[in-house]
Amino acid sequence: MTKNQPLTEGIYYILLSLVTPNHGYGIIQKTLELTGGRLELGAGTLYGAINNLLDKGWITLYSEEKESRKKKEYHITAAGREALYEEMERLQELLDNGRRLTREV
Amino acid sequence: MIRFRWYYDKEKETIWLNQMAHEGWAMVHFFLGFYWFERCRPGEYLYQIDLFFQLAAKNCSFISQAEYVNLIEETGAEYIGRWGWYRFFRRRAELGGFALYTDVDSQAEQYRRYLRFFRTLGILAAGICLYEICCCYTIGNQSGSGRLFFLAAVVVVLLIAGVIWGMYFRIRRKIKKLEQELL
Repeated sequence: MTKNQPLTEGIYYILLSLVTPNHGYGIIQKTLELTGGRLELGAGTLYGAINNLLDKGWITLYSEEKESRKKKEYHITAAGREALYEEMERLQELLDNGRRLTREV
Repeated sequence: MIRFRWYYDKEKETIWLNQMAHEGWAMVHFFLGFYWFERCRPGEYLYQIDLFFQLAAKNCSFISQAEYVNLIEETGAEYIGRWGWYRFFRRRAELGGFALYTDVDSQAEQYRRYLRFFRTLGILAAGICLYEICCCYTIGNQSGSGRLFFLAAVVVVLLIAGVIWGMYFRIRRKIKKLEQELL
């Protein structure tokens, strides 16, 4: 499997928020909650990211309520999970190396 | 209160609208360079502008623009109106900072969209200009006023093309700057 580029913080949290199905504004709220209010995704950033992730096949449309357009829900795919795990491993490596080398000094 | 301003740069326009809101004037309507303002508490609102291009909507085909507007509204913002490709939004300042693009990647991507759009417009304008110059030559000396008309048209389109290409290079500089930030 080809290695992906490191994910941006936003993409990482969007994927994490979609481990359980969620809608657009739900992703913003979940990310705020997970980061203790530090990261508030802008609507434009999220809109572009959802389009890109759908295009890549990392997330998929989960449900659509016909009466209200805003309640479109998305869900992470197997490919998306794989990208997420790959990123978690990369982050783990960063952290391990950082901890190990700063302790040695 | 109505003010007339002509902006090519949406960033400068946003700064101006926020400055006006800071002074107690909230923009409520826009038409062809005219901005309508109403009194508000100083600093009550924060403004943002986004450009929606159907033409350049590469990778934006999955979610409709109406859904995007809905999403912005869900974050507590208010959709004020549109003009051409422009969409105006405002949010109460008490809800915190208001930004549509919150990381460098998406800011750069947004400018790349604008760049594709302005390139298409710029090529179109250059094409029209060339066509008019050809018309000028074919009319030749038979009709003085006809030639003058086309010459005037050439000048007008050249000016428009100049503005478009000016925007193009300005946006390109912005992308370069953002890409440097990413390093």
